Amino acid sequence: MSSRIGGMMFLVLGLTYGWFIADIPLDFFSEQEPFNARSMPWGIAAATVVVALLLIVFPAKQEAGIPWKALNWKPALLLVLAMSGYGLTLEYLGFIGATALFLVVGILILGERRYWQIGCIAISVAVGFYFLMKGLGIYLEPGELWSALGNHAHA
Amino acid sequence: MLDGILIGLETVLTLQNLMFVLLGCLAGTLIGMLPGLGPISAIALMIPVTYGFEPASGMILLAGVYYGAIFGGSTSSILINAPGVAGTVATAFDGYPLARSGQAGKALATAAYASFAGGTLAAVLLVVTAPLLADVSLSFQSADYFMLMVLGLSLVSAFAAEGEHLKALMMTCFGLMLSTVGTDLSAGVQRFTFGRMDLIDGISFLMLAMATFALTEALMMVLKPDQVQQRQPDLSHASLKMTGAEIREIAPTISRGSVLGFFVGVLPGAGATIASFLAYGLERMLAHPTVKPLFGKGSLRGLAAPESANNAACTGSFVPLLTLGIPGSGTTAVLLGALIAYGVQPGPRLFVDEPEIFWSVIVSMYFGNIILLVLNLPLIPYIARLLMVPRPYLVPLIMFFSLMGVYLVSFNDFDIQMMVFIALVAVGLRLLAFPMAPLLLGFILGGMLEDNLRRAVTLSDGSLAFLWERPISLTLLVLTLVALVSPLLRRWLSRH
Repeated sequence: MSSRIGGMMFLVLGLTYGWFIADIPLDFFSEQEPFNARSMPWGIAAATVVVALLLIVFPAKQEAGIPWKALNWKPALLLVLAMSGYGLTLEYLGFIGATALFLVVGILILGERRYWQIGCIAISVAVGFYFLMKGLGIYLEPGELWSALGNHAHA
Repeated sequence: MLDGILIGLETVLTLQNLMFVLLGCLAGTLIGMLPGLGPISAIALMIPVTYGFEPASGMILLAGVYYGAIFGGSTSSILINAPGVAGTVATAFDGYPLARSGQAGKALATAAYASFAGGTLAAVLLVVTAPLLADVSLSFQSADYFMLMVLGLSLVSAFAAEGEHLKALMMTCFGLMLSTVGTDLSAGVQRFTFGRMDLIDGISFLMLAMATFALTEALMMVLKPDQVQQRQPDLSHASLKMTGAEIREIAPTISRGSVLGFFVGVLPGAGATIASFLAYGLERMLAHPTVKPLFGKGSLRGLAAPESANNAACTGSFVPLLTLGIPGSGTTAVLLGALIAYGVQPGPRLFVDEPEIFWSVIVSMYFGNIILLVLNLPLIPYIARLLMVPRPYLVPLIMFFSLMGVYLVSFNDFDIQMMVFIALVAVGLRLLAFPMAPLLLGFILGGMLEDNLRRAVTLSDGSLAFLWERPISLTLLVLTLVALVSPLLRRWLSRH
């Protein structure tokens, strides 16, 4: 079953990819060349459609079903949101603030409740990594919040 | 040649230079363990340190950094399934399952032994064959490179379980698709960027590797907590010892992986990644049907093959650098920059004009291997303790290191969002039992494949005859057809 579902998904993907090949701009001279910016994508789209059709027609044998209900969806999705939030807060809170917050939230999502320990670990990892990167000559932004509080970053 | 080795030994065997090898290996291992910082970053970070040194001493330190970073990358692949560089992706296939089954120490020790043996065999091959191989590597043309890469891609069936070959091929196509996102450098036009500036440079390998391996694995640990239960790792020094049977099992694998890795490494542009994937594929293909199912689930042979091959390929990549002045990989390109900064011009004259640099680099590479083994083996039980971190802490930490590894390269928040999206898609595909390794292989080889195909098609004026006109490409074409047809043939034979 999973082969057929995957095959259908890739068939749609291959056709969509093929559709967007027409959007690749080509000038007059490129169009006359035996190999241009569209040639490789055409080959890949064709191969994808062929393999997807083969997958639908000849699915893998003895496939185990997916235990959708047994999967632990809630914490996994919350972690995905936390990672996305980490990306959004990096600029504003700065490296140390956003990292410590992400680690605290991530550890809490996974059920740990020793708050003092969580805080210590999150802050030490964030500060330790910041200084390690500083030692290697890699500069990490202190964040807009830090600047808004009247501090100025030194590159 | 013996005189040359003596010159090299004389240069390297000073207290100062031995300290440089030691320092290089240690720094390289620590930097290489951080996701996102591979050998290229490690060497680039250490070049300024070497500016005041003699050229030979500088190269000795950088060779140590190179090997250290490769081993460091293998460590993060084995322990947390986070291959920070393309060359260690294949290491994770069996290294990570071994670590999960409580044999992290043995996996790291096997990687260290295989790397050492790969480096040793390759160093011998380098000394014996360097001048001859320089000529051979020059005889490879675009058509041959194209076919070599097609062969590499067609071997994806080696990564697939029995009957899952089409899924592996499907993922290869997906990887090739992703490799076309961004600016087509030869024509200067954007492809599949949908007007987004963030996609103009394409999708980075590191982002894809971290998203499909490390982040996906971390999410799977949460999604299926019972199925990925971690066994307590055996961290005693005794756990690092290998039994006679295990040594007999991996010895031929290491020999094959080293020889294959060295010769693939000699080809400019091929490098450690293709070498490690080819070695893994070859080993799986040669394995007895009773042993084959163990591949991907914690096979020592599956770990030893890519580890010996990627180390041997690193040594092999020095052949075009030292004899022709052509960097065979990104890392050797950085080393070429370092040599030029020292006032040394690599090329055919290096061997004659500055033999002490030529030979000291070769000898120091070997010493780097010895020191890496001596330095890392006692440290393995301590490094492996990383796995004893409880899951509520380990999972967010893996996520943080993966996200940071990508962010530190681009400093672009969009990359983090993209990475999370790719990880979500990868989780879906893993639940549908699609393998991730072929995706990465397709992605890595996509750009090189297109460049070589473009050159070959343009040179032959649109004809595809280049595929069978040259003996090298014809041989590779035949091998590709065998690799593609053999799984289908085996399936058909097993039914009749």
